[in-house]
Amino acid sequence: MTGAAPTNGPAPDAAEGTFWTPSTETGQPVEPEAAPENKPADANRILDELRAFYGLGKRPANTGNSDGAAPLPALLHAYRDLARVRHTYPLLLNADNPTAAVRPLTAVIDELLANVAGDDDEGRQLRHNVLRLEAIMRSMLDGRDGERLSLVWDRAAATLFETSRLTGDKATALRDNIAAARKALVADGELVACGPNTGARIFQTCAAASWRACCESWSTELDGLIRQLQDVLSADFSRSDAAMTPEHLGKTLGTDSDLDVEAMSSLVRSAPHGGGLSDARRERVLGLIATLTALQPLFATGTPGSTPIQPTQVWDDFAAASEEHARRMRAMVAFFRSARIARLETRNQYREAAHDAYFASFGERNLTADELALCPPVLVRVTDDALSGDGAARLFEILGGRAAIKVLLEVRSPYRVGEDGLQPALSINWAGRLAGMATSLNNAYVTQVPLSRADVLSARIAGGLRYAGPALFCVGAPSHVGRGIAPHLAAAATAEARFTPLINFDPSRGDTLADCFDLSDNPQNERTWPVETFAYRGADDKEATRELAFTPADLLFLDDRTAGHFWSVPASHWHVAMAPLADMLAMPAAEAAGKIPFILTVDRDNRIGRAVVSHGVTELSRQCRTCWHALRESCGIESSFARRAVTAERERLAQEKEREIEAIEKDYVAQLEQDVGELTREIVQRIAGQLLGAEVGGVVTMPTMPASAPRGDTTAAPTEAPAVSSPEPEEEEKVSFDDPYIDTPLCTSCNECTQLNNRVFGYNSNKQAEIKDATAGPYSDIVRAAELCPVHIIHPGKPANPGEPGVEEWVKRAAQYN
Amino acid sequence: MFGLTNECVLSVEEEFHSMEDYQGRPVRWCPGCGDNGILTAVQRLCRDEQLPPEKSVFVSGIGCAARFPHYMNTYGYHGLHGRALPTAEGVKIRRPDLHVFVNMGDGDCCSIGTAHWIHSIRRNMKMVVMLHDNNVYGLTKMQASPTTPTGQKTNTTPFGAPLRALNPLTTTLGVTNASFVAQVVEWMPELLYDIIRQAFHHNGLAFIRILQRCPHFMPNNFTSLLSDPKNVLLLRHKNGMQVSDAMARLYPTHEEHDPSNLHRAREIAEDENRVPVGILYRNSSIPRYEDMHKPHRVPTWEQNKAALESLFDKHGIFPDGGGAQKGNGNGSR
Repeated sequence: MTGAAPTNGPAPDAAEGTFWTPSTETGQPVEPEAAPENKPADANRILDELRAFYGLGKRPANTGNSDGAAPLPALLHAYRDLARVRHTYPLLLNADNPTAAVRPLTAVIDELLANVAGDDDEGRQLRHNVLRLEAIMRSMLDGRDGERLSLVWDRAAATLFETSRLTGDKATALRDNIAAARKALVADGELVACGPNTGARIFQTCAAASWRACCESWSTELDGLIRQLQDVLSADFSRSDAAMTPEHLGKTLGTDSDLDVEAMSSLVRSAPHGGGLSDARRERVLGLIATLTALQPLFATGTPGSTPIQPTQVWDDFAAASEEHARRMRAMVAFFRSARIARLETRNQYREAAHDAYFASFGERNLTADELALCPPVLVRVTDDALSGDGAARLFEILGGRAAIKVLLEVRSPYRVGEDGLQPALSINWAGRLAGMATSLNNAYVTQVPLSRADVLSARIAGGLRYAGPALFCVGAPSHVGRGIAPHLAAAATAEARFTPLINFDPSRGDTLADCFDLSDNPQNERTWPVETFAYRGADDKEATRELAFTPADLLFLDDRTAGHFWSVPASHWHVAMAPLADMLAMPAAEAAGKIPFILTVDRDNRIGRAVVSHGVTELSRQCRTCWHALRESCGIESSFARRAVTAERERLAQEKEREIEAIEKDYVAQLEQDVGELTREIVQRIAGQLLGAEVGGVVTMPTMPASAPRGDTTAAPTEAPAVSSPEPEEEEKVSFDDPYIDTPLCTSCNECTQLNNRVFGYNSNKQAEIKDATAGPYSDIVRAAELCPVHIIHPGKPANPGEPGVEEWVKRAAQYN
Repeated sequence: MFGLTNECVLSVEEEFHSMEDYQGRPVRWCPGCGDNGILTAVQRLCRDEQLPPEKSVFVSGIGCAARFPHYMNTYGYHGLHGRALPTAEGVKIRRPDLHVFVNMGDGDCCSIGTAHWIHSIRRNMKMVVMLHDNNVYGLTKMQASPTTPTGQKTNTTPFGAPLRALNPLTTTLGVTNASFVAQVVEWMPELLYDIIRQAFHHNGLAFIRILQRCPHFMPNNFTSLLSDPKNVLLLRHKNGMQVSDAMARLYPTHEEHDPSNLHRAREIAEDENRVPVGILYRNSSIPRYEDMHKPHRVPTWEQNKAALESLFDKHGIFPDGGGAQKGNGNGSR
């Protein structure tokens, strides 16, 4: 087991399986059986021990870790065996393909299968076999980089054929499938597994592809420009005396020519011709050609030749990069100054009086956006160690300026671990927060992506390279993760734990934060922590699920340097005061005070455990949460100001409503009292009148209450069954087809038609009938089949051969089935 | 999560199985028999789920439907009349890794096998149980079965069946621990496949009554359903049977029925005016017998061998006339 705590070693209980009943059937994680209920005295002792660990890092002497075999955070357990999971790696790198320079192998295979594998059984078989090949290719690349896809494919195919136990037709089909897929494979390039240099490989590949795409059209234009300048000099030479000498004319015409070159020389000399270029112009044109030709290989679309600027060269020092940028800009200013003069020269529009002064002061400020885009950016690759000393200041100087310097920052550790004690001090590595900080400059293109999201990373790098200014690409590539976790999975975990959230900030998108800032690539960015459903079997062996959050503690659990911050307690130590870390962090402070936080783990034998988390890890997690919330506010996902305003407004509205209700009630009571008083008086008056004989007719009409509305809920019939809908069938247009057809999806595979004539009728890949060939038998067979078909789905249509004997009778019999 | 998903875990076994790979001996059912459609749906399920043939078992009793295992290229057991279910339970309890299917006719299940049917439902062991119900004994040339409609003339009821037919749905729904009860007709292949597929994924005993035509002996039995689709009640629900738009138009009478509603399921099952098609009841939380009796410790090979030796010794033949004493080393077995 890697990453074991200093006092690790399975507890006797766990080792003997007293509390565990591993599932041998499903491989799902299994919850331990509940330990016998502790006596109050024992429960208090256990709580004291848990508190001592949480607060002071002390474990009781007689209780070690109950780690079991290589435990992992519960949500990572499902990814122990990555060999059978299709994931982003390996990548196919191809700088010659600017639209898809970096692609996961799975995407290449999926595209291939979409082209060659159909939906029938043959297509499914082909897909099946190619996916087997993909799995072999993935396993072959473990620890090896840079091989061509085509070569790896061929080696994997040979391995597949050797190891396959298939024989006969199945073996032939396997070879045919692989051969067909190989023939359709057009993509090629280097296959790269995830490793320490993968970020740099992606960076360089994207830079090379981006540069080639950028200078594709300019290369042609530049070649033409240089040729035109050379034409100017050629035309000048052809008018010179040197061009009219018999020797030159002889060379021009070739040695076999019978022409009298002496006579021709006299003739051409005697013909009137204008003057040549001025010396100043000739010198200028020669200078232009020299300048432009010197940088011509920089823009070549093929293999770049020798050039003073290497567009894909990567620097590892900020100061050197700044100097290189200044040098490049001087060269590029001279180059584009020459290019502009060249355009004027080739059109014979250069006027020394007007243009000399302008081009003498030509500088970087005069470059257009298109010309700036053709200045190769300076590439820098550093790790977070480079930010110590004045590195960070130099980086921010670059990010705050205008220079097109593109920095790849590989964040090896999103947190820092001290060196002393069983529980070394933990703190957030601010390099992991650098991307968030850089966005506040509102000047540079900033992105932060874990290495696991290579597709997103390459797209973001391409965007940053296009941006006309500085760019910072922070790549989460943790180096201190143990327990057999693959590098890209560890990188994904740093992002899931909100240590290095995915950030994209592109100032060219607009002027507001809403235009530029984007956190949408983060998993479940509306939540504090990403939550996933965890399936397991309970102690009673029933299947169950629960929602689990992935927190910074889950990531730290993988780091062997932080083992002292976790105590995998045996089930006998599980206490009611224990609470999942995510739940505890969400509690009010008073409620959280009495809790002991833990994370859920699963070991290699599928046993679920609890690892109690130290106070240090809890505080680091809290700090991560705060940073994540602040980032979300910056991006507009949430606003504490708006929330506060909404709460205040809600309270104000509630109070207002309460006052209105009070007023209505007051009015109602007053009106009621008034009505009751009037009514009482009227009743008393009428009774008195009747008693006194004053009422005419002697009939007293008592006031009556208005009839109450019938109470539907008491008079309705007992609960009835849900209504059964039986809509009238819609009128359908009567259609008739001349060709016979079968409603294949309704076929019950009863064999009636296929037994009647298996040349006309056949089965598809789902063994449902279809017309194979309507002309392969007489029309009468189709009509008979329609009559025999128990579900009446055969429609004979019209006879293909109207001259068939007795066809009229069969057409009549067929009518009811068409 | 983590940029990965468990859904894309590859299940790349050595061999891809096509539908032909699941087809056993040539089918001997009558042309037009509804058993053919059920066979096709099951073979399609096997293909789509890529069930290893060596990990699949079809168990049957006696009857036309009981020939089912012969036509599957998997393991099969064509057993005794009415005893398919106990055999299947025996297979499942000892080999929980196998996919177990049971095919019974209406005589096999509802007559001679009734006791096993009731108690198998109660035990709720994970398997798919298909009742091929054609309302008649076809293999023995047309005798009345428990589900034969009242008044139907057969060789054993020449004046018409006197009793009301037994309703397998109400019976099953009335048994303790019933966890999956569905009804479908074999002439709706799309729905038949969907029901069998959902039954296969159910975590317990899934009982499907499949109404099936017998074109030879009961040619007009389901004519009213075939000629008037309104008599079929489709039970649709997001947790129940999935019905395509085309099928919904062909069979226009629907009900939104939640399969967790046992009370309503029983009402639907009792309604004699319409034939329900769909999942009447499903409850995945009902315990399974095999889980309750699963041994905590799987016996080792040595323990198994010792137990077998002990068993063989009881029946050993000892040429020297000695007694069957365990480990005496004198006898030959």
